[in-house]
Amino acid sequence: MRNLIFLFLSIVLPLKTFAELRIDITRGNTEPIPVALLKFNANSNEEEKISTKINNVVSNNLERSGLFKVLPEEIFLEKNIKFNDTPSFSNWKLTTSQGLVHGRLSFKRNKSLVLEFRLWDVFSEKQMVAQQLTTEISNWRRIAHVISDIIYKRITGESGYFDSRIVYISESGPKSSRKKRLAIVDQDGENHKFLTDGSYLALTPRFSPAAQEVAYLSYNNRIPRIFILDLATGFQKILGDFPGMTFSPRYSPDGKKLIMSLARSGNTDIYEMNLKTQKLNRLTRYDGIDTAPSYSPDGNFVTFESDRSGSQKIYVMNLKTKKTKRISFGSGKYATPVWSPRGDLIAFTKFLNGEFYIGVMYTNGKGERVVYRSYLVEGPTWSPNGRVLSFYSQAKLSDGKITAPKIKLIDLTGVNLRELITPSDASDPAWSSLLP
Amino acid sequence: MDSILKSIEKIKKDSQNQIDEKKDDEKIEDKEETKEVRLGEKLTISEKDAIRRQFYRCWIVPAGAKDLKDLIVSIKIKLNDEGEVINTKLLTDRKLNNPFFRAASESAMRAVNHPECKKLQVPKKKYETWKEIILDFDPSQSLN
Repeated sequence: MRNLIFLFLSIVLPLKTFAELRIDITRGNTEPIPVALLKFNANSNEEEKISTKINNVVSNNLERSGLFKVLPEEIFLEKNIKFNDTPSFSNWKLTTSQGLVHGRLSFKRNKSLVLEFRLWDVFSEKQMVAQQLTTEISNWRRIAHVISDIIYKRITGESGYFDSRIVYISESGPKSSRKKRLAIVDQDGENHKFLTDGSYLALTPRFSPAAQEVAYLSYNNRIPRIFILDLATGFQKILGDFPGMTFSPRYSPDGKKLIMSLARSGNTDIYEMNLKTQKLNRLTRYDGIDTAPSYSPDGNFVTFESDRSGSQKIYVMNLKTKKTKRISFGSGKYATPVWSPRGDLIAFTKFLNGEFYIGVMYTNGKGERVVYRSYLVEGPTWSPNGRVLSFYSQAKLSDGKITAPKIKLIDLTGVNLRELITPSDASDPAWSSLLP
Repeated sequence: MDSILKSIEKIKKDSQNQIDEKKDDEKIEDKEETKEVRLGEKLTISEKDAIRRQFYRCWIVPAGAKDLKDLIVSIKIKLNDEGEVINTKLLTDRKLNNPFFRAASESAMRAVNHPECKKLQVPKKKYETWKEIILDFDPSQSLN
């Protein structure tokens, strides 16, 4: 019997061991994912023109994200796939494409645009998305952003950020009489528009959560005022005079409050303002400077900078218990913390050894990483999906000259640095949520 | 007659002893052979590394995704004796309603279906060892 057991074990155990050969793959490549985007099938010249434009915008969005490489049409073995046909995967595998998009579009009564498309996983030979979208023909650019977001989300798992805008301060003129105007632009640099005429100084704009309003600070006759600008109507209202305003207001995630820092009797603390009643609620009571507050996406916490430990560091306050915890412990001065819309990270500006840094850390202060560094770099703002950071920066050239301020975009992993093309110098960007 | 019988008995015993000894020898030889085969069929560290390295170029890591430590994807692959992947199965399929995990799973599946990783460089003599492999794709160190 014992022999039988031994025999059984000696046969079964090694087989079991063979079946469980495990290999951990802890590295891979971080190259962009190759994708093929076929122009959507169309029946008329006009439809074809729109199809080409949509294809260009989607390609540009995916490429600019740094996560995708859009393959050139010349290498495709098939230039056209009927909407209801399954692609010939062996042909597409030869192109190295991992994702394939094709579809069709048509105009209905010369007014609306109907678009259907599919996304395929070429290597796994599976359909990932099949979707129909309808809009006005004039809305073709937005629909291209929406398609880009759908592709991005399905492949990466994160919601996209292409159908969003950036509001910023456009700067022009000499230093002594610098004109600072509020301006808005699509995240890809298109549809640029000035929102104020430059007759007064506009500073630190912030989007409302629904991206329909912008709150910003203006200085007229040296009096700081908060303006709220309705982007659809262009109508502006003054929220009130804030003589002690030291930092721009930010909306709460539900859009019902603004959070800001106010200096009163030589003491700067953080306050929330109820937008309906305009009542102020003081959140910090420290003899020093508490400033630059930013809500967590669930609205339960606020991160801010404070010099209560002797130099500028980042703190997090639980709004229910009012308990406050310091989270930055590295060398240097930390400022302008901004909570990621994804909830997992806080971006910040850091000053150390004569240089500025944009960095990120987890909300408990761990895992601090530098994302970008330059002579002057400030004011990080998150893309709506919490994947990309925008900020403005100035570099010091070898001849000692300082470059004009420009807005940059960078992946949170610290790669894929891009510049947002603006007609003039630009600072203080604020990124909207996805447009409604 | 007695002595003849004794002699025959002795011869029998001797021959039985010889047979027994031979059997014991065979047993030892068998044991040694079995031991040799099992030891030989284990993959060495460098052989495992070689398999690992092949997937490095096929796997596009979901770097920068949220909660990377929760995105470890396990896939069982079956290979034929030429080292070609003939079957793949996602083992960690219970979290597929999480879009991040689904994307991570699909990225790992694309790696094992990648044309460049469809045929692995493996030591052919040790087929029994690698005919099934569980690959754990772990992106948590991708930002290090």
